[in-house]
Amino acid sequence: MSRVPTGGGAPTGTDFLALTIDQIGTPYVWGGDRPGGFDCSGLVKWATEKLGINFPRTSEEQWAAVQRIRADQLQPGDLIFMNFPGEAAPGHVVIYAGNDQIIQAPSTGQLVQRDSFTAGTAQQWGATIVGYGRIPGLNYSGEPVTTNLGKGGTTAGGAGSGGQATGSILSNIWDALSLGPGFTGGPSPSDIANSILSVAAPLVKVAEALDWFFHPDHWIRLFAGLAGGILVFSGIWQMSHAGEGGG
Amino acid sequence: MVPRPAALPLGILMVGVGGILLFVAFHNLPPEVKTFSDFLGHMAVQFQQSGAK
Repeated sequence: MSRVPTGGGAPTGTDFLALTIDQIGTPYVWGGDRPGGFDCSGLVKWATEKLGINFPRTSEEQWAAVQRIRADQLQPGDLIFMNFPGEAAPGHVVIYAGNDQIIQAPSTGQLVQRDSFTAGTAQQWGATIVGYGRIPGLNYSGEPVTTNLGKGGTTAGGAGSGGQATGSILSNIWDALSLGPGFTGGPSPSDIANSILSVAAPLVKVAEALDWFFHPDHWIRLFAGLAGGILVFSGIWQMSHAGEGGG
Repeated sequence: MVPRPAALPLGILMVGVGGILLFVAFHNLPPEVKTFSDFLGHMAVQFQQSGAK
């Protein structure tokens, strides 16, 4: 069944959602991004590709590319990103289908499926919600969606992207700061903390590498001592015989 | 005599890499380790502790 819009104008979030619904029953295949098998982000990638939208492949890249929205702004076709323990970046992405339901390619051995999804569902799965995102280039409620934070993408509707993107940045900052009494929308403190952690993850890797270097395990010391001694001895020998012939 | 033009830079490279590895092996040791025999004793204790885990 073809759901690709044939008329003018940008494809909608509903078009995108319909494409993913068509794939319900397709087996989960890690790395899959074709109708024979999908992983979570592969399903999103394939459906956006079918709609003529250039969208990244992995959930981490997709999280970087979407326009960030709040939970109360979710519309059918939006994306929900989550982390499972041990993941530095969003390791799972699902498609919001409206009415507290999602479409997802869960994991190996399962099929692309529709699941109910409420506020506590991620915790029940042992996951943490990283955030919510809207795919740039899809049309929601008649308004083209701007790209996320000036990452160089385009708007589906064309003009006015600079002002809209700036407005979006200010809106996100305002949303993050608006956590006073009576405030019900916007990201929770844990959402903000997770966002900061996802940004800091590469720095943590560098810190771990430095820690490894400056506080080596005794096995590493043993290997480094032996290998270093052999290398230095061999290097000195090489240099002292540099002018001699090999034959 | 066959010339060996690569021997000198290769030797410098090996000494450089070896120096880094020796740094990894011998830096940041506990302050009580002052001699090579102290170092061997320290390593022996470490291996015994890891074997006992």
